[in-house]
Amino acid sequence: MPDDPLRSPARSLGVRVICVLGLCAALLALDASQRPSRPGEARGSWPQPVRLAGETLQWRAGGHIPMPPATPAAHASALLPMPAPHPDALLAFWFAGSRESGPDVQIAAAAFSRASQQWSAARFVVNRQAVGDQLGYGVRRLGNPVAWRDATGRIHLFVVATGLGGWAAGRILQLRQTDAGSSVATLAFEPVRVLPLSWLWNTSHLVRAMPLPLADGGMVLPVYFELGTKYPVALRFDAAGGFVGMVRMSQRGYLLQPALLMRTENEWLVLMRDNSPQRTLRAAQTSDGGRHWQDLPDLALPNPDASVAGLSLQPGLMFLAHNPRPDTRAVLDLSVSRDGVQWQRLLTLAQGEAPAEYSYPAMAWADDSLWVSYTDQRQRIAWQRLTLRVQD
Amino acid sequence: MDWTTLIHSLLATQTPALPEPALTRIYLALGWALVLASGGVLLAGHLRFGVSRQRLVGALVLLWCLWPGPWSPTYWLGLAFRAPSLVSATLCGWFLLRQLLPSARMATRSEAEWVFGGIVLGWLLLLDTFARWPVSLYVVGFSPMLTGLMALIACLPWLKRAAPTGATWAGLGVLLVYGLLRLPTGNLWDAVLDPWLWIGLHGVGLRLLWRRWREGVT
Repeated sequence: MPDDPLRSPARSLGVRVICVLGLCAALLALDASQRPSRPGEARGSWPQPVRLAGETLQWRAGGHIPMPPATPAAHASALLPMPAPHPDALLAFWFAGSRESGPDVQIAAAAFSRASQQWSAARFVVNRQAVGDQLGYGVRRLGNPVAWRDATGRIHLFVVATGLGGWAAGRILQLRQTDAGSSVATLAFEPVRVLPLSWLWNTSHLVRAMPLPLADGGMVLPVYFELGTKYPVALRFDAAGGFVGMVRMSQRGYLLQPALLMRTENEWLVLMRDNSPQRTLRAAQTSDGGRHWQDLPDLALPNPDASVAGLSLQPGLMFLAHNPRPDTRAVLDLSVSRDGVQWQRLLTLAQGEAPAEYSYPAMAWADDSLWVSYTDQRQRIAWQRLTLRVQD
Repeated sequence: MDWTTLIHSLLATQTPALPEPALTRIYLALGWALVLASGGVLLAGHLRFGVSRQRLVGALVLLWCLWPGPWSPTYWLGLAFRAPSLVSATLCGWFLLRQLLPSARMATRSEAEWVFGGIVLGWLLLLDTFARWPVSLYVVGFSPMLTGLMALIACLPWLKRAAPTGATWAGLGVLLVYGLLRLPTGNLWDAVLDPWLWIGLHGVGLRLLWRRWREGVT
């Protein structure tokens, strides 16, 4: 007499199939229930309304940002514009210590006061030992801070935190502001997480350029993979700074330090440092808010394998701070473009004789001015404020 | 919600749920504690320690890993390798129970399909890390559909046999913990396979091949 499948389910293939599908559906439902709703289409947001008939820049101020005491090395600054009621026009973040990649390197910050029109004294706001204590594991080196304000005004810092190895063993650590945010003197951060970006011990994703703000309050952060192959990746974050997803921006394997520029709300361009012997800037673009990217033909912009900074102020008005010579970082230019492909030099921000180095620029728009900061000889962070003069 | 929307939301890679930072820190210590304690017990077994001394070694290593700060191996292993996968932690926990509780009846057989499946998956993920595929495989680990697919794969042996194997229950347990807690990173690939486990699977796979070859010869 054959077994009754209902009384001996273990032997019935049909019952086993139902059990398996039920278990799979239950786990799938459990997993799906933990997740946020799908984000809407990513649409870029312009910094603030800028009414211009032309692009004539007038130098207004400049100099060096004060360094923390006893720190002979500084590199890789980032600028963060603050909204009008805030006492500071913008904050600057950079890494500083006895030398690049030194064990004493920390993330420094200073603020430009709207009242005094001066930079505050710099102070360290992220320390690797403290970060290690909070994460529960060590961080060998810190570098390349990038700052962003979420929809509630809280500052997030994204920094490279290296593991076993040099910069190529870097990971991207997200930190979040913990203080009330009224002054750089009380600015404090706590680690949120190391962003999960690759399977191989999460090694070798780094951050450098500033994010592209989105209309929903979130942002797109350009990052890159650097171990052997080098490729750019766009990370999307929601309005609270929650990680939403990642997309590769190029199929080429020798591009790093991507800088995002907005042509329209959903058409963006990315300019990238070229690690190949060609020594020129490379580009890719998206027409659907970063879901898909296509490599573009080469730009006629020489570059000595160095980081660039881009800023779109309004449709048809983009700025690029870059080293224009393929053999040296001794010259730093500011160029302007209507489409992001054809660039015209506006002025030279800094120049010297090799081996002088003016590199790793950052840009921001605040108080009707274009602000540029950059590394000066790997020793200090220089800054310039440029006012856009309207042409009739 | 219509079927198209449902399918799209299940396939979406833009809805990652990441673990709570405090939970990540606890798991980091616990995961490495299980891995290193099983290594310590294995070594003690090779040194012909008795069960009670093996338990002592395991307990001491566990405590050492759970100790906070730079004096703990967790601090340095996390620096270099992040946290072990849930599968690694589960396998090491399984090993500890089997070694230290001899009365427990537990399977010890390496199942070839899992071993070679893990090796292939690791190669796919390694090549993906270096952008050797036209689309990113790692990103798929953020999709909810992958959890269902992995559950189906874990249950496949059950369809061939009358009762679920230990590997099936372990796989479903890992997926349940991942579904609830999102450990270790919020990406399912990191939960099912880590690079050290993948390297270890190569050794197990070679041993299986060697045994089969010898059985074929004899």
